[in-house]
Parts: sequence; C-alpha cells; structure tokens
Amino acid sequence: LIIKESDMIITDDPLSGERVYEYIHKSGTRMLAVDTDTSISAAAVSLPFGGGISGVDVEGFRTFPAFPGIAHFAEHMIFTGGRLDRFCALGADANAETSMTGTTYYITAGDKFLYALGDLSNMVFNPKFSKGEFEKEREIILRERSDDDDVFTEGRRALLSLIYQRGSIRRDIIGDVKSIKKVTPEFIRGVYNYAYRPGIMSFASVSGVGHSQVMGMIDAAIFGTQAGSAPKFNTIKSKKRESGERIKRIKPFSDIGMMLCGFAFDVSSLGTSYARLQVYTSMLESMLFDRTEYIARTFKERGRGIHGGFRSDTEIFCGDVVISAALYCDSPDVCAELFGGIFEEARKLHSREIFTNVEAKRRSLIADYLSVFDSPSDLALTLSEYSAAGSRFTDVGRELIDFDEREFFDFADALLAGAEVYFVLAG
Amino acid sequence: MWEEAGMFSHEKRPLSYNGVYIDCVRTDRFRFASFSLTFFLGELDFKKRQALYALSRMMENGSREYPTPESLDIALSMLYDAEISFTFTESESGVFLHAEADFADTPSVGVGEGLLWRILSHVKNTVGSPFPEADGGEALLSRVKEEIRGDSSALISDHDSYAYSIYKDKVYSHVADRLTTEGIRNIPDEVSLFDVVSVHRTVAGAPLCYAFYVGRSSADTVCGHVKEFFGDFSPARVTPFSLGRGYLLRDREGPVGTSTRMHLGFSYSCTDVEANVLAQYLGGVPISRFFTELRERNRYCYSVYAERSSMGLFTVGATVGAKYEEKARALILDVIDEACYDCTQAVLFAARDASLIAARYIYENRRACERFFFSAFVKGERADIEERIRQIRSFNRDSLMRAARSLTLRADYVLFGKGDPPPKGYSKEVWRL
Repeated sequence: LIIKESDMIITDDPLSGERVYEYIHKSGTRMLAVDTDTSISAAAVSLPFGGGISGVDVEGFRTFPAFPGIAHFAEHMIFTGGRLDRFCALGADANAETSMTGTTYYITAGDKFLYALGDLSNMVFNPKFSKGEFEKEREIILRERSDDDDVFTEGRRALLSLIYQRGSIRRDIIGDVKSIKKVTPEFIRGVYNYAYRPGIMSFASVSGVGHSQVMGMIDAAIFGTQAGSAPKFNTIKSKKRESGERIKRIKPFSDIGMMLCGFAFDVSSLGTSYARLQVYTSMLESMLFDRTEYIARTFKERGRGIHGGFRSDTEIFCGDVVISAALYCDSPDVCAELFGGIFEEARKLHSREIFTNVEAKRRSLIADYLSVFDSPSDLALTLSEYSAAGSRFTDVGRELIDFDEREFFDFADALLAGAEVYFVLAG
Repeated sequence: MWEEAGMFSHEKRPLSYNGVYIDCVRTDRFRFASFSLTFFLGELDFKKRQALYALSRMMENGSREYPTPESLDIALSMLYDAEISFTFTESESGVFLHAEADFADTPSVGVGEGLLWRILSHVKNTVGSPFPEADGGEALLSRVKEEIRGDSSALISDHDSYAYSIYKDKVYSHVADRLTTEGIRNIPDEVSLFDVVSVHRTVAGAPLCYAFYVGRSSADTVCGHVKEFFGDFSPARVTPFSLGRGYLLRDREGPVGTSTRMHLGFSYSCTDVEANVLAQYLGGVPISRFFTELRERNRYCYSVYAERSSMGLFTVGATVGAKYEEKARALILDVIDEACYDCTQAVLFAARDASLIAARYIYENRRACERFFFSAFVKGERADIEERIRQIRSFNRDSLMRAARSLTLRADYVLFGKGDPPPKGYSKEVWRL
C-alpha cells in the first residue's frame, strides 16, 4: 500500500531542519512520519482520552462522575492484551502511559521495526481482552496507586480536588481505590468501543525505514476498521468551582511539611492556538517560578525555615491552564507570607515594574524544543501527543521563531488578571 | 555502519605536552554537543569531601565572573540554555570534580565552535575563581547550604530515591571517608567558608584526568581549545569502586509510606557485558523473569528492576506491598537461583536484543556515548562499540547461567511502609560473606 506524497502535508521544521510527513486517513486517523538515518526507530499512537475525562456515555454504563481512572484501567487492559511476548520476540521495547488529557502507546525497535509497528497498530485496533487477566490487572493497578505515597503526589491530588468540583479530574489519573474496585470487564470493553475510534487516533514514527512504508503499514492495520462517529467526551470545564474553599489541609504519611499553590486560568475565550499556549504558558511559568525561587531564597537566607527548592508544573486541561508550585516548609505562616510575596511579584510583572529577560527565556525554550528532536522516542511521542490534541509540534518551533514580546505580555496580563488561586497545606 | 559512513568518528589523542588524553567523537548526528572534564583530587578526608561537595554546588550557582545565580542564569540562557554542571564524584582511588557542559550545536540557531570556546572559558574561570569578589563567597555558600537542607528534606519525602540513597550507603560502607547521605545532610552545620576556600586550593592544583567531547567540531579544534585553557594540567589514572569483602548488614528503616522499597545488592565476577544482559533477562525487558514472576504471576509489586551500575554493583530493586515483603524477597532469590541452572529462551533472546539496542544507542545519543567512553577510561579498557556488539551477539544460554552463578549477595536493604507492621521477629542480621 503506497500513499502518494501529493496526498500528504509536508512540513520542514525551521529549527531542527527535520521534515515531517503527515497524512490523514479517510477514517480520520492521522499519521506523521519523520525519516532519519537512525538504527533505532520509534513509534507512538495517542488518543485524547485521559484521566481528566469525566463522561464516557457507554450504553448501560453511566460513568459520569463515578469512574475516575477508567482511561488508565483501559490502557492497562489493552497493553496486557497486546502480547508483550511478541514485541519482545521482535527485539522491541513497548510501553504505555496515561496523562490527564490522553493515552499513548509507544515502541522502540531495531531491524524489525515495521513488524513491531504492525503489532502496535493491532494492539490498539484489535485488542484482546482476557477475562483471566482482568483481576490480575486490577490488583496491579491498586498496587501502583499505593506506591504513589509521597507528599507531592498527595498534595497534587488535593489541589485538583480544590480546583474542580466534580469529575474524574478531581481524583487521580489512576483513580481511587473505590473506583478501581468498581470496574468490570464489560465496562472496559464498552469504554474501548466508545473511546478508541480511529478518527481520534494519531500515529507518529521516527524511523530509518521510510515514511511511505510506515504509513502503508498503519494503513493496512486500519483497513476494514469502521471509523464511526467521534466519541463525545464530557469535559470538566463547567465543573470548575466558581466559589468555595480555596485552601485545603492534608496529613501526609511522612512528617514533611509542604505548601502547594496553584494558579488556574481559563484560556478558552482567548482563542490562542495550542502551540502558542504551550510557548506562552511555559514562559509564564518560568517567570513566576524564577520570582518565587528568588523570594524563597531571600526568606531562607533570613532563616525562615523553608527547605528545598520548588517543583513547578504547567498543565493544560480542556481550556484551562493550571500552573502550580510546591514548596517544602515548616510553617504555614511562613508559607502564607512567601506566597503573598509571589502575588506581589506577579503584580509587578503585570505592571512591568520588574525586569525580565524574555530573550534569554526564549532561547531556553528553543533548547528544550531542539532536545526533543535528539531522541527518536521522545520525538515520536511528542508528535503523536500534539496531533491527538489537535495541534502540530512543529508549530511550537514556528511560535518560538515568530515570538512577539508584546503579544506575550498581553496574554500574561489577561491570565494574571483572571487567575484563581488555590493552596494545599500538608503536614 | 556509522563509522564506515564517516558519520561517527572517534579519535583518542594525547594533548601533546602534558600527556592528558582526550576522547573526541565527531558527528553531525546530535543537535547538542557535550564536553566534559574530570579533575582528580586524590584521597581526601571526610571533612574535605563535604567541603568539596559544597564547592561544586557553589560553582553551579555563580563565580567571580557571575556573582549571583540570576546573572549566571541569564548568561547561560543567552547561550541557548547551555547546561554546565559541576559534580562531586568518588571512586576507590579518590575524589573527582566533574565539569560537564551540554549546549545546542545546531546550525539553525547559529551556534558552533564559538560557543565551545565560550563554554570552555566559563569552565576555566569558574574552576579557577569560584568566589565572588564582594563577600568572598559567603552569600553563595549560604545559598548552597539552604539548597542542601532543602534537598535533604525533599529526599526523605521521595521514598524511592531515599531508599536507593541509603542502600548505596550500606553497599559502600567499607569505603573509608565516602560521603554518605547523612554526611551531605550535615554539610550546612559542619562546613565553613574557610573549609571551602581550603579545598579549592586542592582543586586548583589537581591533575586533569580525562576530557571528552562529542559534537560537530573537529578533534583539532577541540584539542586546541582544551590546550588553551587547560594545558597546564597533568594526567592521572583512576580505579572504580570495588565491593568490600566482609560484612554487610541486612538492614531496614522506616516507616514512611504505604509500600515497601527493597534493594538487594550483588557483586559479580562475570564481565560487564554479561552482567548487562543478565540484568535485562532478570529485570529489564517487558517479559523479564522478575516482571513475570513478581508482578504478573504473584502481583507482589507494580515495578521491579535489575541493573548493573558502573561501579561493579548489580542491584535488584522493587516496590512491593508490605505484606509481601518476605515472599517477594524469597522469590527474587529463587528466580536468580533458577537462572543459574536454566534459562527461558524467549526471554534470553529479548534480553540480548535489548542489550544490542542499548549498545547501538551509543551511536545515537550523546549521553550514552559519553558514559561509554568515560567508563572505558576508568577501567582502562579500549572503547570499541563494535566489539561490544560482537560480545552481546555471542552471549548464549551458557553465558547467562555463568553470569547468574557469579552473583554474590552483598546487601539487603529495606525501607518499609506505614501501612503494615514489619514482620515479627525481624531484626538486624549480619551475614558473613
């Protein structure tokens, strides 16, 4: 099966120089391929069905809001039925991951890459659900959840439950013990039939075998698969708290004190593209983080009982951006004072009272962007995840080149003005 | 294949007048270049190791040239976020200061040899003059001490990392003056600026023992720059850690979480390549024996792994349900015992394939490339990627059983969870090896 280049969208990435071939199958499946001289090839397939998706309207199973962790459970079952032994026999490494916004399956392989790619396609299009495996996977998932017992993970769960009033996003990607125990094999099959549609899947490969062959292999796997209508996932957008508590206390397993602060922004009305959103929010996070770190350092030097650096994170969920920063500390009062200082810095940023070297940060982001192209597996994963989110990773490169400082500050102003702020105190 | 095509060329060259060798790998395959220098400081007592650790962290935060972290951050960001790290490392023969730089090496962002020169200049200036003029380094040290305090608190809250860190302390407990997790934690209270300034004199007079470069620049260019900045250094030889021959404790600590973190440490007498394939067979590939037995068949854990570290240590690590701790430990030893006399062919093939991919990865990834050449240097071996690939290809059933038989249990360390009490009758045990 040969796909003509005239039917493809070809993009030359301006920063890395790589050429990305893209083809949209009639079923809606997107295929992206990069040809390199690598001897280790990589491929990934993503779909926008992740831990933050609340409603899956499977007939007979009203899931909303009762099943956090269902996307993760489905990923486990599909991967388990994916014949790991076959991947291994082909010298391929395979794995899968579920994020808040999507699920991705990925492989790396040497000489037998094309065969492994065929198996990857079969795994997602024709999974084998074994009832015998079901209880085993449930136990393993419960085990996995139990292993996440550090204070930061507990704090993050608490933060999301503060920001969102209802829906899976309040819990955890893995779900909670109650929800994991409720899942049945029939439900998983129903979820698969509903959510795993070719029309929302994106394949990406970075290989030395040629884009035509790669796309031909995926095309063969899709052949005969019914495209069907696209699934309608309930988003958590309307479930966000408009009023109510903004602070939560938790008691972690260890004696470590921690404070977590989250800025939640609604960006759906701004009309900003996904790629630009990634660039702008990364830059804003970096700015807020730098100021936070600076203030914390001043506090530390005054012996105010603050331990450790910050952990900061930015996530984009269904039209919201959540930027969070965690700080290990002894005293809630000191934390409150510190985070009060951050708001003051945010205000100064808003009113341009402080100097920030935007060009230095842009160059940092360019380096981060280029580093993805240095690893076939990272590149395949990123290309497929961006595609599943309805965007193109190479657009991020374009945004970095065409970066406009004034537009960025307008965006930052809008976000800082509309931010809702939440706190979690641990210890 | 890459070497034949001229896409990956390696030259080991003496830097003419001081005898220092530099490994230069010239390739257009990576978008970043790496350059590293290792300064050998010989045997230092515990206090000096603490001071050197603090000094290495200070160098990452500033220098006379860039007195504050903010000024240093901006300078490095303008170099496309070049990452320059100074790391304290130890081996049997002494202590090192490892300076490593990663920087964009892609024509589209307009960098290249000029950047290499600037990076080397920065390393030279930082190593030579790490203390800001204004206060002699007081503020930098104070900052570093706070960082260390914070890291120590954060480490305890990260149960997997904490368990691994304590395990390493136990395994290398026979090494005199080695800087332990507790030793690092105590730096803020035990190290003064005077100690740091004193140990810096040792650094300034240290021989340069190894230099490595991978990127687009030619060996001539790289050697020219190294000579310009570091031509007055002399070479030194090093040896890696060996495992002690004596007692090691079966030890445990806790409670901290809901799951038990366990580590078993083994010495091995087979070759490193054989130990690598054995690690893949036991706990590397997705159908590894531990994965199948501990996770899939018995559901004792979600994650289990086996790895060979560069210092002659073979580790099996698992995070298991506390109530399964003893069963999981027994099963791990049973699986290793089984590998001494029998082997699952499909898993062996998968392990061999995975090891081959890891070996070929040296051509594909600058970090893997650097690790490979540095490891060869430390062990005094010839760095030959194709030879490694040949050795893996010839690995068979007999090699596997021989490798498994060469394992000797040396350490058994457990960090257990709050969810379940420790097994009754558990106490510290001492084994004679």
